[in-house]
Amino acid sequence: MTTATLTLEQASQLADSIRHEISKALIGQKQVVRETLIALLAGGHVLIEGVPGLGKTLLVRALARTISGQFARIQFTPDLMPADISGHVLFDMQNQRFNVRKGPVFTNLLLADEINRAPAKTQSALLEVMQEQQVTIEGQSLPVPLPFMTLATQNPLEQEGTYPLPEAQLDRFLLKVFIDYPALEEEAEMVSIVTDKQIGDRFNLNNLQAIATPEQVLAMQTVTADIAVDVHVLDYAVRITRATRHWQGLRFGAGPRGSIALIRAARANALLAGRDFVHPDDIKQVCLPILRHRVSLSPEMELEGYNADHLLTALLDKTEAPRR
Amino acid sequence: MKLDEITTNIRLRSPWEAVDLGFAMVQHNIRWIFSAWALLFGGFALIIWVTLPEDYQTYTPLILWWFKPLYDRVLLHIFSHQLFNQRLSTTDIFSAIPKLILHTGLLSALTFRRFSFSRGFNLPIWQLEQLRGKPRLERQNLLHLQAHSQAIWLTIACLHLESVVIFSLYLLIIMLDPSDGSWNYILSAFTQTFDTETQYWGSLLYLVLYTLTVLVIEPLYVAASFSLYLNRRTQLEAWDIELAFRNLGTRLSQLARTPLALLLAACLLIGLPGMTPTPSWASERLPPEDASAQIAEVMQREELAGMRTRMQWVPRSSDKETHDDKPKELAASWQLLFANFTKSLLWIALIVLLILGFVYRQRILTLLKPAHRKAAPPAPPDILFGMDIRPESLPDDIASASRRLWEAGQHREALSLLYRGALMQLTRHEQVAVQDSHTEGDILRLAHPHLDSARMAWLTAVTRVWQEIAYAHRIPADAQVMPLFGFDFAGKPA
Repeated sequence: MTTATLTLEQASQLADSIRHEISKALIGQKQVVRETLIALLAGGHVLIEGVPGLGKTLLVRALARTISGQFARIQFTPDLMPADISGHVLFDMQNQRFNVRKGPVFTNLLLADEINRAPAKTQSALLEVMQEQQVTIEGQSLPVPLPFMTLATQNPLEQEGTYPLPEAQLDRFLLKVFIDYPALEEEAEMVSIVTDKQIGDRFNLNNLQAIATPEQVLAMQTVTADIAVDVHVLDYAVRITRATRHWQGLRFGAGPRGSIALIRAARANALLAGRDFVHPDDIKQVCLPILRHRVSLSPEMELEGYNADHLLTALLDKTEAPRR
Repeated sequence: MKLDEITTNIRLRSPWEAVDLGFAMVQHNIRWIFSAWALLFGGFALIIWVTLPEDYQTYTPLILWWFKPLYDRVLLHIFSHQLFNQRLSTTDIFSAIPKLILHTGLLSALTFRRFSFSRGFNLPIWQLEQLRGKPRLERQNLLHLQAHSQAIWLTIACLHLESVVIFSLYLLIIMLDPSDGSWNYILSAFTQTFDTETQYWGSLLYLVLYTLTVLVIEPLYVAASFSLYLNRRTQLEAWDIELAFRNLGTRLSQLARTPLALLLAACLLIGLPGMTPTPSWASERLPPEDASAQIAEVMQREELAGMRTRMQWVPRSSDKETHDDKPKELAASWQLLFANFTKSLLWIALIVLLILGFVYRQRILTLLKPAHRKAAPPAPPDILFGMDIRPESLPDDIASASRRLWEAGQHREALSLLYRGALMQLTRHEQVAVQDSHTEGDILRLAHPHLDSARMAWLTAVTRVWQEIAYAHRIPADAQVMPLFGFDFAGKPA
């Protein structure tokens, strides 16, 4: 695999055009697209929470198309087995040998739809591939094609018969993104585009162009990893994460992976802004999606109707910005 | 009246103790009183509320109050039977009502006697003694000789107790209402007229609270008045002594039936004539002069001649200072003049205050409202991001000072000074509330509404070069930085 090299400007422009291209398909939801791109650039995975019908699948398909990558979708159900995700070994009667049959995870972009509908056993089958970017079938490790990114979705409304993701697995997601209803104009525009000379309600992705190749995405990830982070900015990210551990109203806070994720995402944020260094605003901007699934509210705060975003915003207001 | 069937312990009490006895009577008999009483009063309130036209429903509590003598009669009927241990059923009570209306002077009680402060105390004379005309007046005067003031104070106290209970119930509602609705309702009762619906519910609420209050207080009042009346009669007619004799009689007659008592009685009959002193004065009538001498002699005896000293305050006698009349009169007239003048002044001040209060009622009411006062804006910080941004710590001409630093090769210090100057200007002069947690981007966003486009552009540029040198450790190009020194952020271009 040849690795393309990109300069910062090229990478930033490329990211911008990917964003622009996706926004042709996914009308509105700028924040969601931006955060998904951050995860892609930082080489992380995204947990998307939103009610059905807001274009979660569309986002993944559009992203796959613009980076000309492969795309697979797994609908999680209570009877889904781990082998249905990772793949399994079949005995070939004709050749008298075992053949490995790769599962849907061997793709660039994996959409794990309604991930909390499958039991923990199946959910954790995703753990290895998310962390190690490889799948072990019958003792044989098979790497997944790079870039690899998992986008898991959750429905916040129906909690009956679901299996909430364990904290260990939540921690593996770089970002948790809330997808909300679009604004009035955006929805009107979307309806007019979707219904214009269309059969059915499927969004036509044929007019989306492939902007980048998977190699270019890898190169962009390399550029992102090269972005400079000042020691004080790093310190700021660590202080924020540590503050979550003793913050009143939080049952438990984020682990060191939270600080690491903050820096990774802040780098991607800086790249999207076309900067070659991270400043504290980058940290602040990515803080909510990075930390909201890594902290747990105490029961009394939940009873009072607070959510993690409220507490994290308050925490950011009390954490001193880098002292320079 | 069969005194021996009386259920309370009849003895001579002080008037307030008698009032207390009345309250205790209510507590003791509450089970037998309240069902009928609540049915009667609640039903009456409901009937009035339903039958009144909608525009006049507000006056239902007034009508209920006016008809209090009617329920007092029913309550007294219940209590007077309770006293002799006769428990009336609800049917008995209701069937007695027509008689109570016709034969208890209700008409005068509802008209010119409605405002009598001792109506509860007088009621038994009308209802139980059934006296009318001159005998009633004489009887009333006799009873009033001692317990009248207590009866009046009892009425006043119960009146206040009613207000206390009503206000407490309102307060309870305000306390238990998580929204501001009830408090706003109370406030707006003083400021504005309500729409019909609010008025309807407000009147209904008041009616319910008033009904509850009267339901509790009125039996207490009637019982206390009745017991005050009983005490006064005990005092006048010596019921306690009569009862004591009757008890003695009963006990002795029981004793007389036993053989031992017969023996004792026989012994007494034999020995008694010798032992009993002969009453010397009962047989003949003494002349008045002898009588007074004898009375004096009797009064000298030990039982009657006891002396004791009691101290009490008395007004200082005025007839001692009769001399020097003239200056005293003058002084008194001056005093009177001054007092009257001051009194008039005070009255004028009071009237002016009332008028002012009425004129500025809106403002006073807003003052009374629990205001969510804005905390005073925090003092501008002295140190931000570890940088001292007090005006004293900065040179007078920040732009040229930082330009000199830049030219001397101290790039970082130059840009730091420039940024500090901008922060000082923002926090001290533009009143931007910058806190420790604000990053450079936050400050730009906060400053945006305060600055015009030129100053905003300058601040953005300064922030950018500052971030570059601070977080990327890269010295910006001279061409990028030099124009920044030529701009006076405080106002005018240099």
